[in-house]
Amino acid sequence: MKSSLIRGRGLTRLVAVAAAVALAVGLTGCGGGSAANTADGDAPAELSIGYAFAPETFDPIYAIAGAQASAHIHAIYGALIERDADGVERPGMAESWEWVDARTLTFTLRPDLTFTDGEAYDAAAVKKWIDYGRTAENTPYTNLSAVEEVVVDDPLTVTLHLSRPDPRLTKFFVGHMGAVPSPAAIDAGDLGIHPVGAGPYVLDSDKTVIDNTYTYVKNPDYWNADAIDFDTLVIKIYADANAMYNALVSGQVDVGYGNGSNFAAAQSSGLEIFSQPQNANGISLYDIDGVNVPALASQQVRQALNYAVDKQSIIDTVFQGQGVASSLGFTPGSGPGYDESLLDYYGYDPAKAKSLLADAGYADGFSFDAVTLAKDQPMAEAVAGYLDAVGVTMNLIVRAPGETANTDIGKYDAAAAAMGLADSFATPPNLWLGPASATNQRGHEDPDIRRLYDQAVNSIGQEQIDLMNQIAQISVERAYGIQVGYVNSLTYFHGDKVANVMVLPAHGGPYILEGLDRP
Amino acid sequence: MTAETNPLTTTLAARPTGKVRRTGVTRRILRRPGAVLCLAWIAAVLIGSIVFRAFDIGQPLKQDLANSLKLPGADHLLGTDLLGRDVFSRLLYGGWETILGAAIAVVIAIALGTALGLAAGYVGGAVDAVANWIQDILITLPAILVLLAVATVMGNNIWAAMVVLGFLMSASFIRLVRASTQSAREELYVDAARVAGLSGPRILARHVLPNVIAPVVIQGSAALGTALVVQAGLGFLGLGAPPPIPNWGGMISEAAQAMNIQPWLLIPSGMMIVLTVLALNLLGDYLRDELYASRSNASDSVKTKTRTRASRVPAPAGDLLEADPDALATATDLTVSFPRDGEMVPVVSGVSFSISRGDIVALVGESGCGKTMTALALIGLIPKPGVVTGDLVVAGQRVSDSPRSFAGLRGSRIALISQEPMVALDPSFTVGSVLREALRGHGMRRADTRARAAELLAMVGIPRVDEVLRSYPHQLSGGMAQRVAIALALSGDPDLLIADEPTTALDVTVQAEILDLLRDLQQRTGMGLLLITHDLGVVADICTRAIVMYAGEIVEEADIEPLFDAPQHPYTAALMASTPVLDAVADLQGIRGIVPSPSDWPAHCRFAARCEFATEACRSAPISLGSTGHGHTVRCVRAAELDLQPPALVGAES
Amino acid sequence: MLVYALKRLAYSVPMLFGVSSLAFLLLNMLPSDIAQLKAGEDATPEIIAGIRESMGLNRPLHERYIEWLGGLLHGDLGTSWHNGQTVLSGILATAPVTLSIVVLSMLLAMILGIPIGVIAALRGGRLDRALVSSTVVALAIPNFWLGLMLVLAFSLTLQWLPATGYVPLEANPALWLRHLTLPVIAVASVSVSSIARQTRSAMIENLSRDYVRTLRASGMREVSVVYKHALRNAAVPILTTFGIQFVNLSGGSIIVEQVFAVPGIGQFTMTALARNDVPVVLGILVVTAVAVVVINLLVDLMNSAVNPKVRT
Repeated sequence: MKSSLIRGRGLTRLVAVAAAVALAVGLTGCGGGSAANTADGDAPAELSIGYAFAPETFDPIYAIAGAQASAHIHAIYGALIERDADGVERPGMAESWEWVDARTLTFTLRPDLTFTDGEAYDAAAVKKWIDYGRTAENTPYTNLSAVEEVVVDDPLTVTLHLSRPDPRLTKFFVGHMGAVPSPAAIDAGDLGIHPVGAGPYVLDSDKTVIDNTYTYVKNPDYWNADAIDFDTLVIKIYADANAMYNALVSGQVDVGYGNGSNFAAAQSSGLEIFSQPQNANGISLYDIDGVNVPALASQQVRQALNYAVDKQSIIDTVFQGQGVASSLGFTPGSGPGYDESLLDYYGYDPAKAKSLLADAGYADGFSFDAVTLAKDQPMAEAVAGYLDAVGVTMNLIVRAPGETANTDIGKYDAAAAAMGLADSFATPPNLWLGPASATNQRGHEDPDIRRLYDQAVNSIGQEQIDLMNQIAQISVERAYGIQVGYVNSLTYFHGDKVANVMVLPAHGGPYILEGLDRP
Repeated sequence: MTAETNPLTTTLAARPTGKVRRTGVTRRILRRPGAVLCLAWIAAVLIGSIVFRAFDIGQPLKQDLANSLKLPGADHLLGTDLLGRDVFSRLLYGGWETILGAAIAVVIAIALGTALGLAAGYVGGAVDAVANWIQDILITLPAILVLLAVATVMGNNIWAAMVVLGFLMSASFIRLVRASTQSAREELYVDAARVAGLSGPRILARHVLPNVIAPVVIQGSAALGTALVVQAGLGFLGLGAPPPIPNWGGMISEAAQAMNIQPWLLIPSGMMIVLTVLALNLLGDYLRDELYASRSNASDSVKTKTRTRASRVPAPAGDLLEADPDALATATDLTVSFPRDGEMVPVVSGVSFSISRGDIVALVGESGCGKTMTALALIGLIPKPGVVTGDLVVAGQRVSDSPRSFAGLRGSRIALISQEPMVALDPSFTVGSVLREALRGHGMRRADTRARAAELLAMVGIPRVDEVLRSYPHQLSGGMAQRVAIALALSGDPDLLIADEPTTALDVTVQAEILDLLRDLQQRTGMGLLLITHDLGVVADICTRAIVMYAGEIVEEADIEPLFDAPQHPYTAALMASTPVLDAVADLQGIRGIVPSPSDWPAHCRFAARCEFATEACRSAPISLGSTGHGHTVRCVRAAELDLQPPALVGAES
Repeated sequence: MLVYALKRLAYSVPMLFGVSSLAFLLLNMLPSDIAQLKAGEDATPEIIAGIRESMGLNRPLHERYIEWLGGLLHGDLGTSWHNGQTVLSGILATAPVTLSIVVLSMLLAMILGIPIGVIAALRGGRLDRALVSSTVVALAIPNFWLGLMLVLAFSLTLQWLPATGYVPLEANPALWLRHLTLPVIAVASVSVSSIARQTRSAMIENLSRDYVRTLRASGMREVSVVYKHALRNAAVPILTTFGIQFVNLSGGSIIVEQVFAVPGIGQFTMTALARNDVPVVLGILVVTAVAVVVINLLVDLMNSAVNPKVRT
């Protein structure tokens, strides 16, 4: 009994409606994208930037440093001391500063600076901030621990009296320590959610969705407002690399991060690319004393592990060629210690690896545990594969999906981790010297490096460079990690929206705001 | 009952209807090429996974960075991944863990679900309430959400996640087993077992459990598919067996990361999941089709082409009726067939009769003789996939299989009331709204329909008309519902009313009322009435003429008095002899033997096997209807010589 | 009807209580890294301990449970451990996004699924088999893989539709729809198939029932018999399927949001889980459970509206 309904009007109508809807959707689709940037200099310009993570708080004393927080902290607060693209310190909110003696540091502020809530950015404000930062509970920063007392000499001069010499202090005032909030905001006690600063931008809370989109409006009273080209800055969060790339390609965002897997596609898509080498990647070995894995105590074994890995192939595949194979931990551009001749100290030589292992008494191999974040898994698996070929088993433990920080990794024998830091002077104490730190979980102390480092910190010029190079040599020989190489930090951007992006050397971010120029 | 109802949540139509045909399932399944394909795929994946894992074949974990992201080729059947590893081997190598995880989840789901379902269904009461409460909790939260939370708490542990998944999926099995248990519990044999002293668990094990196994297996197949997909989702998000063991979901994630370089990689990992889940789901469907008779099953097994239209086939001699222009309905050589096991089997064969104004014709016979089908053919409501052939003229119009040929006839010239009034009315609409809609359909203006509907109800003897108009069918008694059905049938002023066993489902007292009503209506309107019944008492009561059917044929037709005075077919006589009558003196005589089923109809007298008068002549050739005068026809070669005066009716009212 | 609704509501309360308590227990058994996460990688154990104390994590479990439960009853879902914003505000910010996907998916399921089911039921034969086969295949395709394939086809290759991102409805309806097209298709494919199958079997079942025969016999037009009467009776199982699909869609949305970088509750959940942000995860679980209960209640109410046997 065929039903006549099928040929009836009902079905045709349905199809027609569906077609109309589809047509409407398709037609209205043209021209989706971020707000247009006008080419002429007078119209307001907006720039959208994509980062991988969101800041967890706007309070500088609690915001853990890194591209995710620093971009916002600097946008809101500026800094007492700035650094230019070559890493050289230059005046920021502070017009000048001076080490009166090893334990006395004096800042002279610029005149007539104000916070966006009208409060004066003066010596009293700086004192209030440093006192707040020194005494803040449960802050991850111990950078101000040397400061004993802050004295306001006059409205534009403030002096820090230290309990002990700390030459690194000025570096800290480039970062979060130099991000001074308004005293009224400090008193209000909710800096983490309602920040008030004197920096290049002001947070537009109405247009901000936490963890998703942060809108910043240019602060016309910023001391260096002329160097800030964009009136509106929109920071969007893209945790997933594919999502970031798709957003870039479709024009929804103007600047964003990339990685090896989309590098070739980015090249052919017309995006501009900025790349610079960043921290060395590899497997950091924690159990250097061989407590759990006796084999790891042997330098021969550790060297064998480095010979076993074909660094260049990993760079070529996992990072799609966006990197440089290296046996050295010091990152290019991080300062003294980066000795190019050490880059290929360990070539790819599985035969030598096996013979070293045999010499050390591990002809049958051994096994150890290594933990990795999801994002490092491909590199870690590649290394594991090479180790397997010489008889060493590296058991990988992958952290839960989405985890971004390695916590409690100390209990593992090794971990996929960054092997160098953006500042070469911070590298030895973090990697090869005690006490325990994130990158040196067991607090292993290398006595030779200790000796050399203490000297280097107190030297200058060529002597310092030579000392650091010696440290580099030792660190490579002693093979405290299985190095793969420097991975490039990649930034893709639309050339018609922004002329160039700038990042501090050896850093992956954030982008220097003054360096974002209109085309 | 496949994955779409999501074994994580409830199943609908939990208990499939129909008899379970358990015997020879395996054989029947293997006869269907689709099912064989599914089984083959699943077996291949399973065996492949086990073999690859056990013997470490294909070096799935050996990387070869020089051959990263290659397309399928001679060395690598499905290409290589980012680290140059062979995709084909990795799929099979990782298959073991994936399948194992899914299996763990399903086993737990079935075990827990069956246990709770049996308890809830058998014991009922508080246990049932608790089981319901547990089930509701289990289906409230999306599985992925719960599993992710569990994974975070227990570390990246896929086995813990699968156990929890099993708990979540048990909800649908609870419902399934509970429903099966409840229905089995109501079966008489369970009561008997209980009376006989069997303990609860033993009853459950021996009587209830076997009935439960079939639906559980079907659901289990789909549940495996679901578990696989969920696992793949978790693997995609990064929750899977620790490296270097690959898992299917994780491979999709790797493929996604390399999407901009080598999109091909997405295909093998995804298709593996799709094909495996598809095979599992289809297998469940095939199992269900084979275990239960289903509509698609019936139409699938038919190799017939388009249905034959009603064609004018000359009727065999003796069956030809003169076309009577005043006839309300004339059937000539009417045959109704249904497909079964690949062929068309007739349930009504070569039936010819005619009904005119004022006739009250009875169509008599045992159940299964084809009388209902004959009646349905008259109004064109033979259910699919039945086929009607022969010549049919209703209200002067030649009609065929298609509903269009009945345009203008149904309701206004010919109407039907059926056997079970309680299910004959649309449960979602009030009596009034259905009546009024029918009236509007017959051309009445909306404003007039209310009054007319009330009139109709009054006409069929319903006392509180307004109340009934506002009532839903489930609020009416059986007798009331039948009256409403009659009112509905009369709404179009039909000339011919077919009443299919109108009183069978009613109480005895109500029966008489309805019959009186029908006779009353017939007298008032003068319409023709075709009354289908197996009750000779009813026939004798109100009919003017009777047609006796047996095994799809008319075996005798006569006016009432001649029929009862002198039945000429042995079957008619036997029927009369077996009809209980109040003042009867003689014993009841049952007819020995059973009615042959349509596929077993012999090519000669169909009653011969049970007839005490059968001879060789009866079994030699098909018998045709013969006339014995005064409109009395009979299909029996020995009609003239037999004297079939039924002794039981002596002394009874005729 | 009101009584019926109240009864169902009353039944839901203990169930919600059970779910919430279970969730609280589960998540607070975490080997909590939250203090260390907040302290950063270089923190000393003292700092970490200090943070734990300040977050009240050292208090006994039952005390924290009572406090949380109390807050819950006042509509206070707690505060995120990560960035201090209230859980409620986070959920309110992300819920519209996920709701957009879920609602559009259910609409699609209705608009496509029901007609497909009806046509398959009426037509039978080859069209029926083709439709049924399609639904069977659709049900076997994981939604996230479908999403990836859609991106591959329509974004990367054909460049017709965007692969990521979300535009709020109030900002630009056309773009809102455009950005959601692929995610909705990926998420809804299973629902469309389920609804189609459920509709088909409910219609087949109804069309073979006696009352349909009666209506046809009375001469009623076929359109009316099928769409007014049979479909109406078939509505109950179809509606019930909708309720189930809501749960499925909410779950499916979580993964699909990852694929399409849509800032909905799914993404919110994933980041909260990764950061061990227990209050947020708990809040999401409770809100989801409540939403499901509400939807099921609505379905029940609709069912009783459609099915006279229940309410009379």
